[in-house]
Parts: sequence; C-alpha cells; structure tokens
Amino acid sequence: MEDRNRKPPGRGRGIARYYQLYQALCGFLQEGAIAAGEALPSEPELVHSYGVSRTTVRRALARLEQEGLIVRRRGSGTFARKAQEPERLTVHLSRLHTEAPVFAPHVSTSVLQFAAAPVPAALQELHPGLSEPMFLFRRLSSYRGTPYQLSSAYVPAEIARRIRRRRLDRTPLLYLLNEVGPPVVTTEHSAGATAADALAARQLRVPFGAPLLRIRTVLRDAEGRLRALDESLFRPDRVHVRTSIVRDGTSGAQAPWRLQPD
Amino acid sequence: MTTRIHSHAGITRYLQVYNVLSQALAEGTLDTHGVLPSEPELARRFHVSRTTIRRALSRLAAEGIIERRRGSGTFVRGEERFHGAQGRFIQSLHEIGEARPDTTTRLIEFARVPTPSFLRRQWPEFGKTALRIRRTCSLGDKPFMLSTAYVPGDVGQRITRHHLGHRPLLVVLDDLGYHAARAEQTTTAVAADPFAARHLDAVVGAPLLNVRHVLRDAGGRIIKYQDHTYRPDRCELRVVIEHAGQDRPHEEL
Repeated sequence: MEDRNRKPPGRGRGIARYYQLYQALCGFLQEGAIAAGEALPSEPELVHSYGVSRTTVRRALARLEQEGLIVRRRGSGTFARKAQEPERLTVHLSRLHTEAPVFAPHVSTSVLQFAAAPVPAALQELHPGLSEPMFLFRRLSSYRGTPYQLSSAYVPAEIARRIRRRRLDRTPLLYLLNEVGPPVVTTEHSAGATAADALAARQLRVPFGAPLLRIRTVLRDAEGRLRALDESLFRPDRVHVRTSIVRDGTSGAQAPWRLQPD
Repeated sequence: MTTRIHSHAGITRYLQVYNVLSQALAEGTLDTHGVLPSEPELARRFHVSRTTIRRALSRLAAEGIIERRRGSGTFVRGEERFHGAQGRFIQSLHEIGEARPDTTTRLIEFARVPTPSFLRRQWPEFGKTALRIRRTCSLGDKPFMLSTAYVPGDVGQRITRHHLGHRPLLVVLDDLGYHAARAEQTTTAVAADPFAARHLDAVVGAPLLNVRHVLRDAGGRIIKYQDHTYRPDRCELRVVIEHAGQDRPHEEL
C-alpha cells in the first residue's frame, strides 16, 4: 500500500494516535484500496502493523463506524460500507452574487446585521485607499434548515442608506446594489480557507476551528468605483463552489484557459 | 451566547486554538500594532482555560511567530506581521497548475495504481488503472501546494518520470497530443490530514483550500483528474468575472 499509510502513527504533536490511524484507514476506504463489502484487517492485525494498542484500534474503528464508513459484524469482522455522499448545494462562482443565496429551492436567508462598521484590514487590502464610511450587511443562508453560508458585505454608507430594508432577506447582493445605483460590472473573487472563529462557528453550527471555504469579492461599477466588499464563508460539507473553464482544444500546446460563463 | 470549543476530530483544544490564532495573526485581526491581547483576555475570548491558551502561545513562540517578553506581554515578531498580499502566491483560479518560473516542484510519488473507487464511481469511463503523480509546489523553501493527479491508464502509459521532470502535467499532455479543452472545477476547504500536513509544513487539522478538476479533450474524453490543496496563508486564488450590468430578474416585489 502507499507510503502515506505505511508509517506507524507517531506521537504527533497534539494529535491523538487513534485519529492518525482513523485518517490512514479513511484514506484506504476513500481511495478504494478496501472496496465496499471487503473486510478490513482484524484488530490484532491492525495492532501489529501500526504498532498501537488495541484500545487505539478500537477507538479508530468506532469512529469509522459512527461515520458510516464501516460496519462491524460480531463474529465475522469489519467491512467497508458503500460511501454515501452528503447532499450538497452547488454554487457557481459566476453567479455567487446574482443567484446565491436566494433563488434556490429550500434556501432561506436571515439578516444578522445591518449597521455602520469598520472594514477588516484583510478585506480593505482588496480595495486600497478605502476612506468612506461603510455599512456591514451580514446574512446567514440555510438549506433545508442547515446553515451553509455566512456573508458579510461592506457597502459604502451612502449606497447602503438607499437599500430597501424589507428586501434584504431575499435579494442577492448584486441586485440590491443595482437597484440603487450604477450597475456592478465586475466582480473580483479571491478564494481561500479559514478556521471557524467564534462567530462563524456559532452561526454556521460547526466546531470552533473547523475548516471553512472563504470567498472574498470586490464588486465594482463601470467606472471602477467600489460598490461592495464581501466576505462569504461556506461550510464545505454543505456547499461546493463550481467554475467551468475552457480553452481551444484543437490548436493544442499552451492555449490559454478562460472562464466559461455558466 | 457563548462559544464552546469541543475537542473534535481527535485534535486537542490547544491545536484548535493554535489554528485560529495563527490565522488571525496572518490576517492582522488579532493584534493591535503588534501586541497581542493578554492571556486572560484570550482565554475569555475563546472560552478555554489559560493553560490551553498558554500551550497554543508556546507553540507559536517556538515557531518564531510571536515573542513573549516576561512582564511586558506577547508580541508579533516584526517579520511575521501582517503584510497583506506581499509574499503570498497569487494565482488565477482558471490557470491552476500552470508553470511559473518563480516556483519549484518536488515529486513525491509517481506510480501506476488501480483507479481509486471514488474516481470509478463518478467517472466509470476512467478505466481500471491510472498513473498517480503527487507533487508539491514551493515558493523559495516554503511549500504552498500539494497536488495529486490521476491520468487514465492508456494516456498515463505514455508518460515517464523523466518525461515529466519539473514540467506542469498539462504541458506534458499537450506534448503528447492530448489537448485539454474544458474543465469542471470544484472549490472547497478541507482540514489538513497527516499526509498533507507533513508535505505542506502545516499542522494537522489546519484549514486548507482545495480545488479539484477533471480535464477533458475536445471530444469529451477524460485526460486527467487533479486535486490541489493549498496553504491559504501562502497562496490565494483570484478570478475576475464580468457582468452584463444585469437588471434584477423578474420576481414579485
């Protein structure tokens, strides 16, 4: 089997041994090295090949069972189960602020905040020289009752004042802005990942420190003026962000890629 | 409402706190002019014990990110202060895996393997065997990306380790006459597993950006599947999208 799993779990700094074994077995199961229906090595075999205690092996297996990756049958052993993908929403990056979060079925949005607020440094960096007062407009979107996106949009106060409040909970950001001023013609996106802080953990109902997808967007009008800065955090187990890219596939070598509008 | 930190995913509390702290430091949201809040203040903010905060801070200090001065507090080391995009690798989201003269690649694995079940499930046409290539990409001596590529058996058969060298896989495929024409990309976030943590010089459980894509040629045939994992503090992916100045869609007011 591959090199990543051959290494016995060491005393990783701050990482439980059972978790290291759990991760290694997860890898086998996900990559199909142990296919659905096939037996896993026995507990004594795992103890021997990973150099860990029986208790550690049992904890790792218990967690795999809890997550539905394996099934343990008394007397006959432990078997890989057919992987079940959780239901996820697909958000197209090109429609992030025109469609999401409002128009999909079973999606609901609540407004958490609409008030004057300073823009965080990391977001300011996307639009240097920002000096005007800004409004923070924070919304939480849920799909079938489970939150999946926390969006914090900073809008120049002068634009924010004209936004009709009763439409806040069901209008995508770009349309809210287009209703009260020159249309947004470019959105500049920057993708990253972040560990859930206290606010995000509470709102998105994930453990503190859990990984979240982060997409920051600068929305500008035809003159290049700032219409809004948005930071959206997504639960990776609930949402996939999609982009389609194309290039001339006949001319071959080194043809440039471009985004395909969805 | 209070935040409860659960010890989850087998990762101790102090590591969770460490992950959030190092993130906040990288973003410049935690410190005021380089000075960190006091231990009791941090403990209160994160709803954890002072011992947990101390362990997280010790680790940051051991890594040279912060400096603790007895009696006067905790400081962010000058060179680690938030400098915005400076020093970060900026890449276009639609040009993933392209050659960049300022980066270096390192080969971790080059192996012919049975096609993993997750690929066969999603794309049965992938075939029974695949060439698996794992590489890291670094800026200077700092790795920022770990990628795992699977090339279908018949295409993969034509690629040798020597042929690949340090070139992007896409260039090698073009060379062999396999011209990619379209890709569906999925962007998400993952927690670093021990393998990714080792190769990206990160902590297990740290948040990583993940982009996966399937490349097809003009005829719709799959020529590779690739999974890219990025350290978000060393790299970000950008893209600009043009809009036609849309009116809002028809809906009742």
